[in-house]
Amino acid sequence: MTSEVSVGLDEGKHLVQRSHGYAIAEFALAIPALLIVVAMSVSLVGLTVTQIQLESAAALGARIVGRGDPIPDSFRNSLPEGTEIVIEPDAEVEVVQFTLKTTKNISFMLFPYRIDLTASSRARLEPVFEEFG
Amino acid sequence: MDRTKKSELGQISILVLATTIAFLWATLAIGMLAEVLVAQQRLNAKAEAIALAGALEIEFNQDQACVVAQEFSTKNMGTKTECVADSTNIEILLSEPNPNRFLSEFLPNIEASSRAGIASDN
Repeated sequence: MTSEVSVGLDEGKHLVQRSHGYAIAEFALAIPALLIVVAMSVSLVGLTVTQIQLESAAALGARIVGRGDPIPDSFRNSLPEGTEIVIEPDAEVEVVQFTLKTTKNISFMLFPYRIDLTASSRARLEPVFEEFG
Repeated sequence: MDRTKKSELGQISILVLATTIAFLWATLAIGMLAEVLVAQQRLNAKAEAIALAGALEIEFNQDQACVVAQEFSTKNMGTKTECVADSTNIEILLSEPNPNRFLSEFLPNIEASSRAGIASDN
């Protein structure tokens, strides 16, 4: 604990500087920084999960389209909200490209940020046989 | 006045700094792991698509199943494929270099395999 002679109105009295309580003040200042880092980690995990989900869905979608089937509602409903489906069949090389695009909002405290995620997969178009009888 | 009592000044700062650095390292590790996981998922999907492309030939053109699968792989996925086919199914093995430079020291390649065949009547 330090003390020094003060000046001004209370001239002559000793000014006492207390150091306890600093810990709480520092903690209060440092907590937002720590929370931002934790939020970054959590957001990164969320982004990874969504990307893996999209990759898996794109592979499945390409397979469905390659078989010549329509995209079922259950497939659309399983995708993250606002996902765009792009289907590009190439009959010449008998391949279909199935792409999924979505935007994920992440927010670090007061700063919202949008990240575009894309997953694409290709599948061979299966030959369609006419049914007999 | 208790002179043995230590000042609290800076104690929490060190603790928070250490925790923040630990979390930043953890975030970096998660990022690297995520990159490899996504690459592995892509490779799995590629192997599946290549196996299915080859499996279409098994019933009527069995000799060409591997050739078709490898052609599909080279043209559409840009990867070389190991392939084994018999009268009922085709097996594909894909291998790509690990996309993460740091993790590639421990795991140089990521691999995926897939098997496809003619569906049984049962």
